[in-house]
Parts: sequence; C-alpha cells; structure tokens
Amino acid sequence: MTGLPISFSAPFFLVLLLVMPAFYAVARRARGGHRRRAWSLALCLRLGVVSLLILALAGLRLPGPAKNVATVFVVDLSSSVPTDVREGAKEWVSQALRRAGPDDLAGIVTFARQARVERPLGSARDSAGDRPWGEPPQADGTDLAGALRLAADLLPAPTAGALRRIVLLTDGNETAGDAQQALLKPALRDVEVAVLALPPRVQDAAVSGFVVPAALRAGEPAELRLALASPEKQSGTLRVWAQGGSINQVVYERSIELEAGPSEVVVNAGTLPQGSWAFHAALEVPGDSRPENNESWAYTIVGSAARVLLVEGVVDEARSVGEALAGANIEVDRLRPAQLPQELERLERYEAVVLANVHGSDLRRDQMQALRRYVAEGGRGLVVLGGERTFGLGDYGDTPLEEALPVTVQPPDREQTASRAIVLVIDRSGSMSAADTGDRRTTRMQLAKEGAVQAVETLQEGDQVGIVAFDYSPRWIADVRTIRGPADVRAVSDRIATIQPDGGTDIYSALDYAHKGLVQVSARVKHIILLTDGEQGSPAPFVPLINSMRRAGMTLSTVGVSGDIGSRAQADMQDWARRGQGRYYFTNSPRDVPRIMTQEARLAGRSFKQERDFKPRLVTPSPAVRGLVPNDFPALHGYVRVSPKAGSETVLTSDQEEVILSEWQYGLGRALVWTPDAQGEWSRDWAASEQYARLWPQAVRWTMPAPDTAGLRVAVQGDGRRAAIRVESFEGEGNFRNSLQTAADVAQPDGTVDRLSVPQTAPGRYEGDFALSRPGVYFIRVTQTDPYSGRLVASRTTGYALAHLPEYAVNPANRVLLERLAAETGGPLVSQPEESWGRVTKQRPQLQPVWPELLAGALILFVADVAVRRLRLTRGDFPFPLAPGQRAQGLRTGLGIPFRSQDGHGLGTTRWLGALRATFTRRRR
Amino acid sequence: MTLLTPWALAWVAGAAAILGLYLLKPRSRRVEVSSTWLWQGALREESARSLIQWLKRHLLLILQLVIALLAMFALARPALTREQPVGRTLVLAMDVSAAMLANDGDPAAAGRAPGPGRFTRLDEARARATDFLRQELRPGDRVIVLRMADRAEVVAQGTLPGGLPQLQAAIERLQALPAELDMPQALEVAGGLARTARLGQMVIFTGGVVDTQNVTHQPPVNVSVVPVGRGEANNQAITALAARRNGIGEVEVFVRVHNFGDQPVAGTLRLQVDRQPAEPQTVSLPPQGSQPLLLTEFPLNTSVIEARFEPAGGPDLLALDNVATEAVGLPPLRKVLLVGGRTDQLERALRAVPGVELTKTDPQQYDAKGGYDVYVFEGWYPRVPPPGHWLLIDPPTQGSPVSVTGTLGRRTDSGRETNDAQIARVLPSPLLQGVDLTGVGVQEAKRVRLPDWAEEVVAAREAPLIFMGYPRPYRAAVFAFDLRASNLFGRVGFPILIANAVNWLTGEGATPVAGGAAFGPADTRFTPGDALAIQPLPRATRVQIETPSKKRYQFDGNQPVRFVDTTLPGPYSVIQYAGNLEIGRRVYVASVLQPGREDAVANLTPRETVASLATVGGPQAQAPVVGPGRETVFAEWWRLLGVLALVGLLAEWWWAHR
Repeated sequence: MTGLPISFSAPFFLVLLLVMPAFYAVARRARGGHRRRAWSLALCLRLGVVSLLILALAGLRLPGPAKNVATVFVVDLSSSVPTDVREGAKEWVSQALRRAGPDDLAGIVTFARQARVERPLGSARDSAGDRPWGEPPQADGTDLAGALRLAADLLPAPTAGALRRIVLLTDGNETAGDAQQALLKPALRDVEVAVLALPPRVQDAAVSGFVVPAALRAGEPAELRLALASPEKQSGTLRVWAQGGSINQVVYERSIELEAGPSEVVVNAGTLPQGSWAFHAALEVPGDSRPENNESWAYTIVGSAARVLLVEGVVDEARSVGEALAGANIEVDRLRPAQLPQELERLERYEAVVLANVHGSDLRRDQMQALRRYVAEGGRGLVVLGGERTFGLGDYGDTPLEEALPVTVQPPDREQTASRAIVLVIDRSGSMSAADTGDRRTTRMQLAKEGAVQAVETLQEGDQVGIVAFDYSPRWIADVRTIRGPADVRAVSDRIATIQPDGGTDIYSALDYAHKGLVQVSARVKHIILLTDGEQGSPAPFVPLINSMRRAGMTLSTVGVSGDIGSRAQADMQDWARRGQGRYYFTNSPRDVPRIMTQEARLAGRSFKQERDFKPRLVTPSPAVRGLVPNDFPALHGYVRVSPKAGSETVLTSDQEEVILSEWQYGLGRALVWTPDAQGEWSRDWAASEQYARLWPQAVRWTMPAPDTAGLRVAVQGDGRRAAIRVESFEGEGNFRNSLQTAADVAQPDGTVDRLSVPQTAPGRYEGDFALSRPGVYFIRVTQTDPYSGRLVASRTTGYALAHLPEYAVNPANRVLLERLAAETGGPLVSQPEESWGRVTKQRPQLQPVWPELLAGALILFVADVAVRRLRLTRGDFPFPLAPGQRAQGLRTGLGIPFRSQDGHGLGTTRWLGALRATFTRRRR
Repeated sequence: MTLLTPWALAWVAGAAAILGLYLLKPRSRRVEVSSTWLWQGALREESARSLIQWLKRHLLLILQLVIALLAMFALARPALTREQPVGRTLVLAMDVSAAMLANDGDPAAAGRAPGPGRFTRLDEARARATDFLRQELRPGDRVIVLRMADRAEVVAQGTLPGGLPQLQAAIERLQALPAELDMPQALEVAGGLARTARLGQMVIFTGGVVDTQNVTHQPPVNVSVVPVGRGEANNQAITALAARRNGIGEVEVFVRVHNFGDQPVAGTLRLQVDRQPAEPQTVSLPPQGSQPLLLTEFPLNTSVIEARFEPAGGPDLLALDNVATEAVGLPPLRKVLLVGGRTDQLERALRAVPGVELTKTDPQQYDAKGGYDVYVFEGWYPRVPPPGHWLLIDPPTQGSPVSVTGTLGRRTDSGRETNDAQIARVLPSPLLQGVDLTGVGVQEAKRVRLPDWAEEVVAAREAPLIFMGYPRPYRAAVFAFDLRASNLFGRVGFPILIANAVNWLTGEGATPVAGGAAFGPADTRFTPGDALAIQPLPRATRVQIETPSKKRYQFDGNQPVRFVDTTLPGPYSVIQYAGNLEIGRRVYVASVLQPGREDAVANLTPRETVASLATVGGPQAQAPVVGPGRETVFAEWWRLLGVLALVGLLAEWWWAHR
C-alpha cells in the first residue's frame, strides 16, 4: 500500500511557476556586480520564496496530523440503559460540546431499535447550546451497527482533513445487527471509535431463562427449568402455566425466596398428553423496575410413546424392569436372546434395547454387530443389566457388544499383580481326533493344542502353568512351572505338542488330579481350565470336589467343544463353572477354542463378581438418576465387576468405588450399564423400592434419541422482530433431498395460523421467515411434498419461543465488544468529555491544507533574502565553522562582531550577544 | 471585512526585521576605480544617510515592506462579509443503488433525445436533477446533493447561482454502486441536513426499487419523490446459487433463475467451474416465475462456480443480476498440537474437525519452536506462551496464563449440599453455535479470574467456566475445568463445541452442523466494498489476495489483514503461505445479491409505497422555518494578496538587479 499522495485545491495556480525563470534571468543580468556565492544564495532564497508562495496559492495539501476533529456522539437511549444514565450521557455530551475547539465539528446520533440524527454535523460550539434533545427512538432494541453506520454518514469525507471520530456512549448490549461486522463497511474506514461504557440496568428481577426439552415422548415427565435473576434477596411469586389444545392449567404457583443474583427453579409439570405444549412463566416481585422481563415462554412437543425391546437371558428375569417401563407409558416388547433381530431396520423400530442378564454366547456375533451399529449409527439406546451371565462372567470380552458399552469386562486393575497359577486340563480322548472343524482338515485335538499354546503364550513373567491331559486317566504333560522367559513358554509348548488323542473320558479324575497338583503350588490365584468334547461317563461327586477347590482358593472355567456333548452335559459344565466362580464356554465352532483359551488365560483368577451388602453412592448427577434420593438408596448385595472406559460417566459406584451404573455417548447413540442384576439376589431390595420404578424409565429414556423425523431438521432463529426458518432435508448417508415443495404453517400465540412458502435456497436447504408479533410460543409445522405426485415426503412440527424482547434481558455491559470496537479502530476508551477532542490518533494521516505554513515560510525566507543581500554576509560572519576542519581565523565578521576574543578563546553566548548589540550600535552611527 | 485569524498580524515582525536591516550600516562595497574622480560617484551613497531621504529614495525598501505586509495580511485570512438572502435548502437525494442501472430510463421524460445506447434510470435521474437545478431553483437556494445507496453521502453542496456548475458536475459524476438502497438511513441523513435549515426540503430521485416498510420516521421536512425509469419489469436474475458437498463429498449446485417480467422468457445458463466452461443449461421461465436447477457431477476439488444467464431475446433490464458466483467451502488445513490429552474423547473430537491435522504429545516432549496453528493444553501450560492460538483446558494452579485463585465445586454448607461450579450463565458466542448445554453439569472447576482480554462464554455464579479472547498476538480459549469433571463428553454438542473452538481460534466461520443447527452468517460471501478481514494462520508468513481482476496483493502473514480493494463483485482468492509452501486457500465472493435478499435488487418493479414517502401538499406537509431570511457569508481573499505579493517580489527583484 502506498502512502497518501499530495493534492492541490487550486492547481491552476501552479502555472505561476513559469515566472521562476524570469527571476533567474533578472539576477543573471546583474551577476557581475556581486560575489558569486552571495549571488547564488540570494537567488536560491528568492526562488524558495516564490516557490512557497505559488504552492500556497495552489492550495497544496500534504499528509499530516488533523487540524480539527469531527466528532459524532452516538448515544444509546435503549431500554437497557437506565433513565438516569441516559440523562447523564446527554449531559456528558453537552459538556463535551462546550469544550470543543473553534474549528471542531460535532453531530449527535441517538439510537435504540433504530438510529436517529439528533443533530447533524456542524460547528461543535454552535451545537453546544442548551437546545432540548428531540424525540427519542423506540427503546425496545439496540442496533449498535445501524447507529455506527448512520454516524459515519454524517462525518465529513476523509479528504476534508478532519480527524473523524465517533464517540460511542452505550452499554454495548446489541440486540440487532453486528457492530464488529459494521466496522468492515467502507463508510467506517478510517473512523476512530471512542467508547464510554454506560452501566446497564441490572437492578431488576427477571426470568432470565426457561428451558424445556424441545420434544418429549408420551408418558415422559416434563421438567421445566427456570433461571431467575434478582438484584437482592427478596420474596416473589412464581406461576407457570401449561397450555396445549384446549387445556390451560397452572402447573406451578408458589411463593419463592429469590437469592441475590441468579437462581434456578425446577418445575415438574408431570406427564402431558401427546401434542404441542406452550409454557408460560410469570414472576411477581413487588416494585420491580421493569416488568417486561418477568414473563417468559417455552414449548415442548409430546410425541407418541417410546418402544423398547427387552431381551431377557433368563425368562422373567427383568419383569419388574418391564413393568416399570410400561408404567411410564413406554411400550415394551419382550424377546429371548435368540429372537433379537440382526437386521438394523427391524431393530430401529425401537428407541432402545434392554439386555437383562444375557450371556454373550446367547447372542450371535451378527446380532451383536447389529446392536453396535444400532447405537453408533442409528443413534438409539442400549441398556445392559448385569447378572451372573453378563460382562466378564458372560463372555462379553472383545465382542461388538463390549465395544458399545461404557465399561470393559475386565475387573479393575487392583488384582493384576497377584501371582497366578493356571492348570490346563485337556481332554485327549479318541473323539478329539474328529475333524469336524471348519476346514475338515484340522482335528479338535489340534485346535485344543493350538489354543493351549496360545494361552500359555498369553501368560506373563512370574505366572505358573501346568498341563494335564486326560482320557480314562490323567497325567501331567507339563508340571506346574514358573514362566521366566520365552524359553519356558517354548518348553511348555513343546510338551503340549506331544499330546495325542486316544482312549475314553473321565473328567472327574482329571479335575481331581489337577486339584491335588495345584494345592501344592504357592500362588494367590489358582485357576483350572477344563477343555473337553465329551461328557462324564459315570456319575461322580463333582460338587464336593469343586467346593473343595473353592476352599483351596481355586477357580474353574469349563470349555465345551461341540462333538458329543449333550445338553445335560452342557448344563453340568455350566454348573461346574458357576460353582467354581469361573466362566463356561460352549462352542460349535472349534475354531473358537484358541480365542477362548487365551481369554481364559488372560482373565484367570480375576474376581468377576462381588457379593457383599453395600449402599451404592451417587458420583455424578445424571438424568438417569434425577429425583432419586442418595440417602434412601436401598442396599445392593452384589454386582459384576467391570472397569469404566475413558470418556464414560460413572453415575453410581459401590462402596469400593467400582461401577454400578455407568453411561456414555457411543457414536450417535447412548449406552448405559447396571452391573447388579435386574431383580435377582443382588438387587432384591432395589426391585422392591419406589426408586427402582423411577430409575428404569429415566435411565432408558436417557439413552433414547430425541424424537425426530428422519431426514428433516428444522432450525428457527429470531431477533425479536422476525424469525428465520431453515429446513435441512436429506436422505440416508447425507444425500440431499431437493426440489421438494416446502411449506410452513405457523401458529401464532393468539391461535391464528399463517402459511408460508419455504423455497429451496441450496442443495437440501429450504429457507423462509415470518414476523414475530408478540412474546409467546410460535408452533411451526413444516411439510415437504413431492411437487409432481403431491405425496407427503416428510413433515415435522417444532416451535419457537419468544420469551421477551432481548432488550429486556439483564446483562452486564458488554465491555469486551466495546473495547474491541475501540481497539480495531484505534479509538480511545474515554471518561472525560474533553477527551472527545483529543488530537492524538493512530489513524493514518489525512491530507491537510498547508498554505498558511507555506506562506509563513515564504515570509521568513523573504526576510532572509533581504538580509543576505543587504548585509552582504561572508563566510566569516558565522560564529561557527562552515566546513569541517575549517578554523575560524577571522577576528571580525561582516557584521563587525568579534568571533574570538583577543586572547584567542571563544566568546560565550552572553558576550557574543553583547558584541552583537555593540555592532548594531556602531552601525547606526 | 474581517480577519479570520487576526493573531497572524504578529507576522508584522517580518516587516520590522526588514526595516531593522535597513537601519544597520551596510558593509562597504569594495569598488575599484581607475580615477579618483570617480570617488565622487562612489561616495554618493554616503551622502544619502538621512533616514527620510533614504526612505524616499529607496523604492527597494518600500517594495520589501509592502511584500512583507501583504504576506502578513494574507496569513490573517481577510474575508469580506456580506449579508445575503437565504432561500430554500434543498437536499437532492439521488438514488445510486444497483437497480438504477436498469436500462429503462426515459430520455423523453428527461428532455433528452432518444439515442441508440442504453439509457439507464440513473441517466434519467441525473438529467432530471440537472434540469431541476436549472429550472426550479432560485438565487439564494442552497442545494445539497446526497448520494444514496446502502449509505447516504453528501457529494456536493452550494448556493445558487454561483454553485450551479459545481453542483451539476457532481451530479454528472454520480455512478451506480453495487448495493441496495437503504431508504431509512438516507431519509435520516437528509432530514438531519435539511431540518435545521431555512425552508428545508428534500427531493428524492429514485427508481423506486426499495423497501419502505422500515421507514418508521419521516424527516420533518417536505419530501417530494421524482420517480425515474419507465417502471418496466422485464428482468431476469439468478436469485440463488449455492454449492454444498453432500454426504460423500460430492459437490451439488443449486441455481434458481427468476423471471420478474410478465412475458415468458427462454435463455441459457452458462456455468464456469474454476474458469472452465461446463455444459450450458437451457432455461424456460414462465411470467413472474422461476426455474430451479440442481446440477451435479462437478470435480471433487471444485472451488469457484460462476453462473451466467443469457436471455434468448437479448439483454434484459439489468445485466448485473444475471451473473452470480459461489465458492465451494473447504476449510484450510489447520495443524493442531494436543499436549497431554487426558482422554480419548478430546482427541477424537479434535480429529473429527474438518481440516484439522492433529499431533499429540506429552508436556515433557513439548517443543516451543512451534509449527502449529493451535495448541491444546490439558492441565499444563508452557513457561513461554506458544507461538500460535491456544486452547487451555483445566488451567494449572501454577504457571497458568490465567489467574487461578481456588476451586469451585461441591460444598456442604450448613448441612445443605451446593455446587458453585454449576453453570449459571450462558452467553451468545461463536463457541456455542449449535451446542445445547441443557443438562450439562460441572462437578469441579478452577476458580479463575476473567482476564482483561477475555469475554465470558459460560460462567458459574462467581467465576467463568469457559471464556475466550485475544491475549495478543494470538487468540485463546479457556475451559476452567477438567473435562472429566463434567458430563460434556456424553453430549452430542461436545465435538461441535471443540470444532467451534478450533474454528474460532483459526478465524474460520461457525461450524456447519448437520441439520443446519448452526445458523451463522454466510462466511464466504460479503458485500462489494466491505473490507475483507482475514486472520492468517499462525504458521503463515505471507498472505496473497487475488481480486476478480487478477490483481494480486501480498501481505505480511504475521498480522490480521484487512483488505479494502473489494469494490469489484466476484471471487477473491486468499492464499496463505508458510515460506513458499501454500498452507491454506479460501475463496470469498463479493456479491451484490445477498442470500435471502436477491429480490431486493433484481425485482425492478417500482414499489408503490415509495410514492407515500412524499409529503408535499399532503396532510403531513411540514415547513419548518429556522433562522432569519438573510445570512452572513464570508469570502476570503488571501489569494489575491498572495498574487500581489508575487508581483511585488518580481518587481523588487528587478529593481534590486536593475
């Protein structure tokens, strides 16, 4: 960017420069009679005089500091500024006008909803009279941007040379326009905005916020949150009405004690019938200064009842949960795990799915995958209730189901460092040679060995492991040994490789054998993993054996591998695992064996459940437990131990700070887990309490998505006068729906309905607007139809609540905005009236007329010119050397003033002036 | 006569100085003569030492004194004062909005012979205003010419008859501006100018394309309206041009061409995609109707689309609105460094912000050398402020850039449990666009004093919880609590909040939210003439702006850029460089047609309500008379003195060298 050019107000005078050669010609004629230097000096001086005079006549203008200030005072007379402050602002402006300079210009703009010219730009001193101010603008809004633009239009053009300034007297709480954006307008370029922040009206009680969920489902209680503000501690009366259809009822009427400052009141409006509901709140406070903001409005739309799928691992296990949900007007469909749909479309008929004590093996992987997508992509809810068949006890580890949950199935880390001893008891009966695996080439034995090797490789340094293989009789393939490095792992693996299938099956003696071997081992955690494809041939006392193992601190997990295991044997193995505080696996796919074995090795010895009496603790207030009284929580008697995932929110914990209730957002949806059982032994006291009946509808509703019409979103935004509707219409995967005929029926607060067209403005976007006539709720029903077939494509009802005009909000002065306006324009923050005329500015210098300076300069040069010619000065006339190194030898100047004293020392200033006086005296004589 | 700066008479000192010089004994001139007879002549000067004789005989001194006194008087600004009769004060308000370029100006109504070229409404307005000056005004009338479009500006003022040429010249120079007419503002300015004058009056020359609904306050002077143009409506315009990327990133373009005329019109819509012509579309428009077009299959990297409608029957009324330009938004790449991320959620939210390249590190590994646009610190802050914008979450008690004075959280007060970290205030902010904080709870937060540079966004009762501001030279935002101590993570709004924060820090617009919940201004479209405010990325060392006319400007990338050469409609490409590496490119479009207000310019049918602005002869006619019928005027004549001084200088020089 280049600097400012010079300019001339009367450039035709520059023609006079043509006389310059005449001066030279005249001087040249008389050159011979003068010394060359004197002649040159005189000519230069004369040409300088003439040049300056001609430039002055031509009206040269140069960039420079402003010589006068043009100030427009912009005074906020909106309602947010108290009356006495407004009067004070006017007086401040009057004082400023009285202190203006003679050349300063001033104008006054007043503003509120619109800006008005109070006084056009004119001589500041002329404006300073006590003329009364004109009619104020409408006070129910603040258009700061409009006022700045109007003020800028009053200012003189930048070329006029005045320092252009706006002095803004306001609280900065704009309700329309954007003052910062207005600074980008060309009219406000190079205008300095000085700011005097006015104190806004804050001594005022108000309903400052009114929040209601925009959409509810039938049966869902409406919770209304009112934010109140009060300048002092005082009493008042709060009333809230609910209006829907022909119903208009008071839902809250109470005397309240208002704190000084903000406070919140929560009103439970209960369950409302399906339809559109407007809420009206009114706060009565005696002697309040501004009643307009003591009322507020909000709305909600109550849709149809929610549908929930309740999947029970054990029949009727979650009956009380189902009853609690049904009691809250939630439709419940109950299924067995096998019936859980694996298609997302079928699942999405439900807003949430509740799994109650469902074992991981009861669900196929595709069902789990569908559940995961249902939450993450479908934005629906998932609630998992615990029990003996869930989480770590139910093989949830490393499944899509676990991925969606806010917890991992791993118990908390506190036992990780305990020493472990694991014995793998592997069936090597002849049936293990069967090749009924997926590829028909691998035998069960090979898979079992592979699983065992991988399990051993999972063990950590310091763990102990032993391998027992059995047919009719058991034997140690590898004695229990401590893993100290890869060599030990290899050694055990090599031993496993030697197992060959042969013989029959005696599980009991194998377990007993392993038990006796493990008793000898010193370890805090002792765990036996039994893997078999057969069943016990003859009855055996398993229960006493397992009890004995438990007493010895051992746990037992059982793995059944397809083949010849009947349902009774499966039930037995499950029972052994339950009694052995381990896990039971059954797989028809022997390929799962390695995975199961490694998981078992990893989880070995971990305590997956806690059975103890305790009262849960509330850690995080959550909508799921809203209204529940922590002190009245019934006792729990057990739970499945899990670990919270990062980002999850633990709501309730046990007395050992382990998760009882946890929730999180997963993708677009939400998931929640309850680690005790639904209504069994662990939560029997809860199931009998009122809190339980309240907990489940709230918790399940928390996971549900907001009621929505797929593919149609409507946003409404208002400025107190008009409201703009923006409709976004799209299909799955975010593809836009275009060329639809879109209309909006707007129901005004007085009940009249206006229909407006909402034309398309962009791919998938449709926009329109409507006037806001008064505070209240405006319900808007948007419909989109196919213009050719007339088919209804989508519709949605929403609302817009105009609580009260933004001008009546109780806000502190927006000093940040004001300081930013000043900073961006280089303006000052003023406090004293005289600061309105400060000449110091950060603005670019403007072109200023410099003819008086030029003329004065010409006069001074002219005197010098005469002096040079008259006095015939020589180099020696100057009391200082004219060139470096030159010695001032002359004792007398042309004026006869001694330059040095006779003794050769320099003369002081006083003595030199005295000598000058003497010289003049001498010359006069 | 009066002196406007009488103190300048002190310059008489100049004349005194000259006189003083003459009182001194002049240095004797060395004269060599061939004969002592000639001494007589040389000594003649000595014989004239008598002061009176010296003055009488030395014209030189007289001339020098006269010159000095002339200069002195000129500096005192002598002015002739005279009383002159004052007539009316007329404000000629000339509509120069974009609609005045409609070529249905009526030469006959303006008293001009029909010519072969286009005669616009502005041409007619200029002609009529000039005629008005010549025919309707009387000597003594003062005229103010007001140019009105989106702002009202005095372009000339003068008193008749002397000021007539200047006023006419000003009217002839008027050019249409690419803007709408803001009639309330024009009336307010004109009213302000006229109402304090004697017999104030306002004459509006307008094509009538203006919304008068907002005129709630008419000026207290007589207003008359002179409609210009034939009032034809045969105009077609592109009233919508918008490009968006769909769910799979493809560009879709929506165009609407509207026919404001009463006859059906056919034409061709020609598109240019990044200056390459695309397949033209045939458009058929019913009377007073429009045709929407949805166009797809654009290149994925499309950045600028220009649409131009060409009516088959030849030019329509206004060519300006037959062209529209749209930029396809793609945020620049922002490099973000997350230092000490405590949770996956924050990292995931940052990675999900379009155009963000995230790097994560530990406080121990933090390198102060920079290279990032945004630094996100969790519970830690470096000793030296980072060389970029920063987001601080959970400010540390020691070494924090904000003053931490304690903690907020749950308290048991007289047996009652309270939480002073709860949200008490939520203020409008770009950080909260599309973010619903309903039900968000904060269990514990740092008690932070709001710095001078910051503004509150979310606050507890006694201290801010989230705030943002400009701790120069970069922007900053602060969350005064550990995210894990709130339930923000579980909210759909959390990633939007983080995206808003990153976008605000890096000077981008509001985060577009699926479903359009963010309803901010169109961040790439602006009105021609408005300044373009660019906040370069901290990595940027240079910013290049290319105008529609291909003119290129270079700016220092280390400070905000306010670009003002924006009068041309069309695309402005803003490219940011770090050294020679391009790190960000964004196209802004200067457009006369603003979204949602296209009809305001393109519908050239004069609005009937414009006539109602006139009050002359009507029941609301007002004629305030302020001040006497005569006024004192000053006519400065220092220039005359200056010219005389110049003549004197020449004469004195000649006399001195004769």
